[in-house]
Amino acid sequence: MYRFYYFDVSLELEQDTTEISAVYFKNHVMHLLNILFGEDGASTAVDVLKYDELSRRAILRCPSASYVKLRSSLTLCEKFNNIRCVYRIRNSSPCLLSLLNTSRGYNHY
Amino acid sequence: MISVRGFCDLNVFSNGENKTSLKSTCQALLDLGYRTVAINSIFNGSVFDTKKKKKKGEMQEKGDVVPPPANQDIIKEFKGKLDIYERLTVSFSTQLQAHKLSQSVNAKMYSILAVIPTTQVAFQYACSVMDVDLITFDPDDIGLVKCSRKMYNLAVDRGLSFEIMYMPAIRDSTARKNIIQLAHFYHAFGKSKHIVISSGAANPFHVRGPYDVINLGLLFGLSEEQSKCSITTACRFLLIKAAGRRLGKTIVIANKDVNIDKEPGKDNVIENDEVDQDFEEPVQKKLRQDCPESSIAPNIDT
Repeated sequence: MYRFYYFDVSLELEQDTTEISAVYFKNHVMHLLNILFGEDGASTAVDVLKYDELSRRAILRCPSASYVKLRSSLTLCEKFNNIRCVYRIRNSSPCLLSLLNTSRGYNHY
Repeated sequence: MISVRGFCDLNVFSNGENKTSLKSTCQALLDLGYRTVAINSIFNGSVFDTKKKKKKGEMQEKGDVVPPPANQDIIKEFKGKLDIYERLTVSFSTQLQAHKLSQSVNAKMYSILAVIPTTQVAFQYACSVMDVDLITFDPDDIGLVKCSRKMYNLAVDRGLSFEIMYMPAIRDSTARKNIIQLAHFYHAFGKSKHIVISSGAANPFHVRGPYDVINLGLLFGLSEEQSKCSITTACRFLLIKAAGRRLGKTIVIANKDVNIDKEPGKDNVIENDEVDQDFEEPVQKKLRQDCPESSIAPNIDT
């Protein structure tokens, strides 16, 4: 039904030292897929559409069928080059425009 | 009355000493969107095994081996924002240890009681007889405990829940393998009924957002609906059942409040007494049928 799934993720590190370029970011994502799902998982076509080096925030895109794989690999990530890290997935959606905002963050009184 | 809000994480690890990491973990959970948290204290049941008396005159030390819940200050700090419960997890291997646990006074002060059965006998005892809320496991060593469909369904019928922790899966590949294996056992034997997913987190870098955890549930063999339930409805079920276990058998009395109709005639615009009587008599008759006690019937001036 939907061809792609889009993620708005940011990488939080325990120590804010190294500068991570877009290439290293994508390499790390592929590495995570490899750890959890092997070569088959690492062969999924993940694209980094946008990347902000200062905030380490990226828009990722993957085929709809690999949504669960990519999301769970990002969730189960522990380290980035021996620095403890967390991937905070702010938003995910099959429609790119709806990554702008979501009502999940609102306080519904 | 217990009200359980939002997403739940019923296993925040606390070793009793480091309060700052506990506070920062709770704060991280609050920021991510969780609203109900339980602080877990793990206790090894082998302490219950007493040594034999060497001399006849020696008395055994009388004191509760289980430590009382010690996190009231954190609960007060997060009051209104995060509902924090106290949980005790005990690992045990024999029926004697289980019996001593049920006798412990401090153990009853915790809101949730969870057990880690380390032997087959202990597992059967926990599923069939023991008065606990949650059956969990040690991530580093799942041991030789073989689940069976009969035991699982027995536990589910009694209202017990089974727990899967996801933090060890982040930390260690052996633990990850064990957790996925156990999760698939639960699916094979019990169709993943009454599964609760929790973190077991010791610091803020180990917690994940609720929707990420829901996605992990899919890896653990749960369906999409079961995954979402595992951090919302199943946790609510567990907390309510735990409250029921602590309160024991209760009686519910439905009572009519006497003060409500103290002066019924005041608001009546109609001055016709007969009409008033028609309104009040059927009510009185109903009361006489249902509640024979005279104390409940209100005094109505006609």
